[in-house]
Amino acid sequence: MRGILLSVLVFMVAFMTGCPQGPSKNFPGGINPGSGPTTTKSLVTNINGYLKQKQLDFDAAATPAEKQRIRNDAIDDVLAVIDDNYTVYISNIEARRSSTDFLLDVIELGTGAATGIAKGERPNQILGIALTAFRGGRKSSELNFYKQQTTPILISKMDDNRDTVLGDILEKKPSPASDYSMKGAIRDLVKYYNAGTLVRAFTELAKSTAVQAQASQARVRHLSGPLKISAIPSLALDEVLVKIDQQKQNLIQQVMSAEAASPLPAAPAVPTAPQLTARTAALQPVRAKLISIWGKVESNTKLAVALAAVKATPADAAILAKAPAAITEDDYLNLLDDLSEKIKTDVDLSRELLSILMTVNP
Amino acid sequence: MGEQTKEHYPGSATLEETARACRDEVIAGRPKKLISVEGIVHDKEDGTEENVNEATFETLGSPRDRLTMLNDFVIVDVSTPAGAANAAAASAGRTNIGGPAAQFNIWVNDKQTPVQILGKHT
Repeated sequence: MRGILLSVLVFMVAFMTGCPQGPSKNFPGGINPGSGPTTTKSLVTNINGYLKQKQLDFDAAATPAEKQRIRNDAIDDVLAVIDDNYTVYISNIEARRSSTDFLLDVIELGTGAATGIAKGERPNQILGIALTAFRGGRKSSELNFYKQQTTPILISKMDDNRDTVLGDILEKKPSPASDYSMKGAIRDLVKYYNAGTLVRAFTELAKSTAVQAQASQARVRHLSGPLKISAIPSLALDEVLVKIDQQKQNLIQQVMSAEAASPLPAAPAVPTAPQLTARTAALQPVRAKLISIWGKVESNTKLAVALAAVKATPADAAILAKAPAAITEDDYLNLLDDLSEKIKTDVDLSRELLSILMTVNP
Repeated sequence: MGEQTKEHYPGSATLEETARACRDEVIAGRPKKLISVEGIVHDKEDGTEENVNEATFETLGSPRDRLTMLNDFVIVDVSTPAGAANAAAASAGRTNIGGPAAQFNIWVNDKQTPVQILGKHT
């Protein structure tokens, strides 16, 4: 089955991204019988061969009117061949890229869907890594071959470049040979040919990068009105917050270890008195630490404002309204979390809390 | 599902600074889960604009979630093939925020950048 699927995939890739038929590169037969080679596989060689003879004809012409006619004939003939070549060129680019993109989209979407279907963390992780690598390869291809531009944008840019040069040529065509020589016409024709290449399109697009960046920024979501921007925590504050987190993790582990050492039956079974006594005894050391920590917080004058804010929170006020024996270990942990939330941007107060935690739970 | 909160950080921050801000928000206070980070533009009342990264967090239900929550983040710029390769390399042992291979557009040094955010528990 795997072999069949692989064969189908290989066939699809070859079929959908295969080289399309190339554009016409030849001048029509008999257009200039005395010229150089005009039927090779290279468009540039054919144009050069054709223009070489036209240049000789131009130089040999007796009158200015004859020179002008020869020059304009050369322009018309070369423009026709370049236009024919360009039309096939852009349709090939579009067809080839659309097919390739469609196939790559199918692969990407298929893999993305597979991550949603696959069971287990490991397969999903492998699919995620594979998908990231695939996207990286695709991005590389987009970047290196098309500079991350869409095909319509590139074609529009090439059309735009060509129209600009063509406008210049048409404007000069009525000029006499003395003002617009054959050499000048050849230079313009080369410029016209180059204007229809991807390389020139990239160059022209690069010039308008700033405009594109502004347009891109315009797509970003905007928020108006007052907005509280939180400062990036300093390295010193970060260090203290991480240590407080480690202290809390340690206390939680102590609670869970004590619970694991004194198991209670699962609901709806009711624990017996000896089981409850064992649980209370097991939790006693960490509970004593939590009570001591909270006692030191309440007596710390630096933390008074933050503590008042905690006590004003309905959920915390409800905890503190309980009888001391009814306050659970999780309640104390929640109170500590809410206190550290109130002081999370103040490095000095966070250090104060850390100091209490490390004193009670070294 | 727990309560969702949003924090806004300056768009001028580096990748490391934004990652640090997200980490500190997750570990300070009740345990939280980082849901997403998105680069937005804040239209200020004085008519000017500022780039801001909007991070969304979800508060977890129990203080014990602190033992398993993702609290160490690496943000990888995936705007280049090399960056995508770095993300693939860094993803081993880490969880991609937003789902497998999910990307976010955030401000990095005030420049819109596609990133992957990889988290793990320490």
